[in-house]
Amino acid sequence: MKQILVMMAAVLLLGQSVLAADEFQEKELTLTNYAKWRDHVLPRNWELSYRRLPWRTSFWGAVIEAQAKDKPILFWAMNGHPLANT
Amino acid sequence: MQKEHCKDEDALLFRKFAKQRTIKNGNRGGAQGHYAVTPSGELLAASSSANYKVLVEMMKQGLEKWETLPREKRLLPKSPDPKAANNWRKKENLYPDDGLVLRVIARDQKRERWPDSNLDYAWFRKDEARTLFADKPKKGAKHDVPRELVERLARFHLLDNVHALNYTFFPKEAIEKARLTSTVVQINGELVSLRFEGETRASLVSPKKIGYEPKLLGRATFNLKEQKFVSFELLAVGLRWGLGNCNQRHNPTPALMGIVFTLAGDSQAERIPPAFLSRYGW
Repeated sequence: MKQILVMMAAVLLLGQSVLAADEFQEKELTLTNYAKWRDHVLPRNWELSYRRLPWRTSFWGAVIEAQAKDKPILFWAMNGHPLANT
Repeated sequence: MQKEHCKDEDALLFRKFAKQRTIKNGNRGGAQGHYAVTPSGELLAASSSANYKVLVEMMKQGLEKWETLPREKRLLPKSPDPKAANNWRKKENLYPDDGLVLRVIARDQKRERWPDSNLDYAWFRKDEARTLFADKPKKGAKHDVPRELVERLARFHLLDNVHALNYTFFPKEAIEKARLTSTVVQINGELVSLRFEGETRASLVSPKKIGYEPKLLGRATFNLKEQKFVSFELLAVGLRWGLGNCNQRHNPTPALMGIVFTLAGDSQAERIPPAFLSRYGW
């Protein structure tokens, strides 16, 4: 596995996931089913809830801020970026 | 940045507390997970679970330990240098402020298990974005988007990362089809309304058999005065097949997958570089 960790830090976090049932069955992309496919792929509001938190996208930026405010850091590290492709 | 040879200040700080972590159960691999740490790099608590209850407990433990530490243990002896990040945040500096930034969401037709979608970003410089439609737009004008740009989409963005980051991108020779045509459907003052239609096919046989063959449809609006897109949608739907590298795909059988490109915002979280930006050739 390539070892490129991109890191982020924040002062808050919540996380909850729910498996959503979906009976979507269209087979091929056409102008007729375009909107249905688009709406199927686009995330629901609850899937984006973690993005409403004021994450800092750079660990170093969070260190600077936490040092100035004398606060702890909640740090989330993944292969890829937790706020994007991971 | 966690590579052992890396001496960037943030990497050194990370390794300091990552080494202190001991997780017996549920480790997602490597140093992935959540950490509660002090600015000085002291580990307060850590977890590597996707269960939010575990995370909440970890945060409580971290705060309790934080309260017990004297200030000199919590903080660095001197303020960290903001300019130090310039040495390692080179990709972020390529953000195309006056170009086109798209959010890219991928999802299977059939939702099998969570996570069942993923997100990346696609960047276009201003001059690249402007080549998405005719130089002198008039109603009905058709325009072939430069193959180079369509290939970039096919190689680095039309990928199976539904369950996890896929390190397998498509080499240039794997792109068998890469066509995207825009049509001006209306011009209303400064606003040019566009339709997109096209197709791509990427097929890799070695070292592993993997591919994706979607049809492309979309629409967008470009503001000629501001020289930027004010709306944008591009949808790709087609069969994907094979496995990837680290992408948690367990079933190679061909199945339908959709990918949607939409305008990104400009918050910090929306300015994260594309996973394969380093391959753009910028």
